[in-house]
Amino acid sequence: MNDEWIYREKDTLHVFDVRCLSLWYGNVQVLHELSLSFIRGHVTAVIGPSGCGKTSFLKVLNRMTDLEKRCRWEGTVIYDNMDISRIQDVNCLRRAVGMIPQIPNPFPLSVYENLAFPLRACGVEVRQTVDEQVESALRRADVWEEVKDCLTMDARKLSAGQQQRLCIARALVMKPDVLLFDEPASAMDPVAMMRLEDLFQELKKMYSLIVVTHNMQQAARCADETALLVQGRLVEYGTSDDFFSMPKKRETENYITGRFSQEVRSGGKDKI
Amino acid sequence: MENRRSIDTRCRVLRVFSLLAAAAVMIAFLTTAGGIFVKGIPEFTSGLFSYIYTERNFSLFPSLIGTFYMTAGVLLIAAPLGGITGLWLSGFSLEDRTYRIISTLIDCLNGMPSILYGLYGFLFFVVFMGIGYSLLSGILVLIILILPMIIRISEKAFRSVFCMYRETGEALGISRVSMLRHVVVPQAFPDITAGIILSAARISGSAAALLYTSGTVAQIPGSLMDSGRTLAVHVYLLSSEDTEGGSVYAAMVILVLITGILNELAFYIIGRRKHE
Repeated sequence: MNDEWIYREKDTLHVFDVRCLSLWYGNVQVLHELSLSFIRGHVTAVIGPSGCGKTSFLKVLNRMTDLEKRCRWEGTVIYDNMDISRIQDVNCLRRAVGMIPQIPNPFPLSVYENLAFPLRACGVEVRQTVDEQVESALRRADVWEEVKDCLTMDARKLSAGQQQRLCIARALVMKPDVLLFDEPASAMDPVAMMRLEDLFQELKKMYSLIVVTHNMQQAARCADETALLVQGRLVEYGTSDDFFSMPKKRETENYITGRFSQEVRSGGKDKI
Repeated sequence: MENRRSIDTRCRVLRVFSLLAAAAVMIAFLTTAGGIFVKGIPEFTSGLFSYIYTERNFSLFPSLIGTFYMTAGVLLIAAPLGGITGLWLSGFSLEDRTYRIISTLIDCLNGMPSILYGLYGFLFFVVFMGIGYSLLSGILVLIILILPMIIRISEKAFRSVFCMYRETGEALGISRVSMLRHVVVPQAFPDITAGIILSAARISGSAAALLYTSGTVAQIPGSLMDSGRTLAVHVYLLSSEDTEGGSVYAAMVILVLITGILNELAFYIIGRRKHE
């Protein structure tokens, strides 16, 4: 595999094709035969109650599950015509499929170094190129105006919202194709959240976004497609318009209107 | 109302106990350190710092130099070795079983009384390997004595940084080596430095492990193979020889100062990091 694979023009309709994905932690099955496809250039929201396997699902997509010893999964996940379980250099996949953590965790470095260090670590050495790419990533993540005067400051001193956008910039600087957001709104005030949603609309012009959230309003506002996971099973998946206005399944309707069935309620408790 | 009153009583009892505990600590400190200072400071004479120890001046200078040599020699080997072992244990040893065995062994070593180290050093280094009473034997024993502490401290420091940034680094596709060089080591460094200073304090304060290994000759050791005493050994010997005069208290003052300053320095480094 070479860089061409990462940077070449992507023309497949689906960024990810997930077929029959099941996932276990030890003996506990967390995901049950999920099959869904994510459309290129769209924002896809994955919603569901806590503990239904949303984050685990996200972690499969860039193979962060490799880090967890007790975790194993079966099924096929196709990214850009490649079976991700066969990818040799997992770092290539992880650069192409950037992940933004739930709680922003910038490196204990300066604002500038937070982006420059990952860049240099993957081989971009020329100082001018690094500068340009850092600036462009910060601009695209809508944080440049706020940090351009304090690039040498410790990044951990930024506000939470700024840290999150910095983390987005840090993923962008690796020239990704897909961005995975893990509960991006969980620690945000409404203003920061609206700003983040505006940013999603900007970002989707260049990238495909997969957003795990338990905030249904957010999914309804900014996602093109929405998938509902309950207890590791895919309940419904469709365009957000259909999903929220005329859900096909009773369970979905109950979930989005807040009439939780007993099954949904116990969803979180089954997790170990 | 009843409930409220009982909570108030409990608070009061708790406060009394914590005041008592604080007082106990203060008294303990004043009677030991304070007592040493009161008795020791008047005993300072110029003879105490003369280059050569005699039966008359009880000079502590040779043992001061001995302490310095000993600490430097031990740390020169133990600090890098312990740091690397700690790093390995914190993130690079993936097999649970190996880790658990090593970890248990380290804890065992950590809890062993230092006289056992002394006897082990005497039997193994001094007698079996034929090194004899020498600075080298003492250094080797103290390396074994201090390694568990340095390993534990650096493992803890590395592990806390690893936990925070491992996933982030992996998600960005950054190699482990780069993460180590640019994030983990710089972040963990101050904590490890503090740990090494603490172990320096422990080295300069240990006597039991050295009595039978580095020997008790009260001269500045000329080479690694010479016997020499550290300040702690010096204090022990003077007090057991039951000499007249209070030169032992003067030596104690110096010893308390050295270990106290090293400890303070370590906590200063740790505290300054917390403020960041």
